[in-house]
Amino acid sequence: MSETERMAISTTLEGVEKPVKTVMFRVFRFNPEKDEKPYYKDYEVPIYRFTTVLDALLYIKYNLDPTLSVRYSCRMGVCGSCGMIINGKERLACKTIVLSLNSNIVTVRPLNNLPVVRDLITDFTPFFDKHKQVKPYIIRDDVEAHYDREFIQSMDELMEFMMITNCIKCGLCYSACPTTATDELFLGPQALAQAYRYTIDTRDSGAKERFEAVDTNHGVWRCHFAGACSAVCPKGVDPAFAIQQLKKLLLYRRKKMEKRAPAHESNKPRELLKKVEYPEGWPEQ
Amino acid sequence: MPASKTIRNMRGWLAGWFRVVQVNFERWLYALHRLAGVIVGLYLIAHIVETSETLVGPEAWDSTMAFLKNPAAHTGLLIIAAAAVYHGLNGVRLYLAASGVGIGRPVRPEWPYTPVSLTSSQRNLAWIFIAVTVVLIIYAFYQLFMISLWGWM
Repeated sequence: MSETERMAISTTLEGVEKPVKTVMFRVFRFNPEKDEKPYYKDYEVPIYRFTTVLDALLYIKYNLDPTLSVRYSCRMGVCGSCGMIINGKERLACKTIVLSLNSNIVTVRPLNNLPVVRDLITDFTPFFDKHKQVKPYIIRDDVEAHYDREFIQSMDELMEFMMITNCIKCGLCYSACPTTATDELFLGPQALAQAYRYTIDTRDSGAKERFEAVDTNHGVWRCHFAGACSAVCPKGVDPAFAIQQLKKLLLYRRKKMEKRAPAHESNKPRELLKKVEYPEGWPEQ
Repeated sequence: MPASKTIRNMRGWLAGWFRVVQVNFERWLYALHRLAGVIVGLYLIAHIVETSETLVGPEAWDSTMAFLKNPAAHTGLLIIAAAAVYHGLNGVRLYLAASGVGIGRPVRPEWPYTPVSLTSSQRNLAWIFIAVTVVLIIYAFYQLFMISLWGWM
């Protein structure tokens, strides 16, 4: 980069070349091999204009304290690994700009209601177990027979569940939900939203099995519409909406949904499965 | 390999239900709903104890009523009335939401994401119900204090 380009950037984007300020990071620390109890440790981190909380935590790991444990992968809000509680609210560390918090002290804690393994890392086993309980996949008898056809679905039918497909399983809703705080067996907003997403999908005919999984004491009826799940979701999924819709299906359309025939398949083979022409010299697939 | 030692990290009822800092409006309604439900539930027990005095005889009932006719007990009754009205009306809102009323229609998720269920008419309905609750609290105050206790009318 030439000097003039650097100057242009530094005049248009303040706080890129030099740190804007120093922020105190108060980080939850717990090492199961050494510590009896968790504690908070303070670190001073220089903050640039676009420094995210994840950047700051990695700065601490590289420069101040290599024993800090953080889980992250993509750094751009796609993988859902870096969910944590930042200044009292569930957020993705990679999508939270430190300056947007407007605070000189940033407190970072692991997610609520999930066992803490070490520092900021929580054990997602209960979360994924509940996800599996609601059978989050298309259930129909003829899937194997028609592998090369796609099922016909209109745009309106797709829009019914489109937003719920955005879920990245980051666990923020599970942590924010006040019902999971007292009920370990409650399926949680994520699993129930997935149950609705697959039940309302016209290609699916597994409503009966899924209703059996969610129509329990610790299922959909434990939700009292606190809406905390929707408020913290970083991907625009609206679990509160989905759970209310699932209740609606159970209350008014249960029989109809259980008997519904799944969408029929297209009479054309899928074009993607046509034989691919490889360049000359490539090994035979 | 099983984890050697983990922290259970469940928030419990105090830090879970009543963690209402930096949260949405419905989250407050949820906390109030729980609180009101606990108050009404405890009152049910007290109510059974209180009315069981009638088994002893009319004098016992009259003396209990005279004992309870003081500002502290009537303040308690006012709180119970407020809790019962709020819990009932908010329950109606929850029932309507579970029937798909006032929670909007699904949208294509586009930045900045706004959850439809938290911006739809159920929120206005909640404010209407809160207004009704306030009016009924004022009526309960009129009945419990101005008429029963102070004998103004």
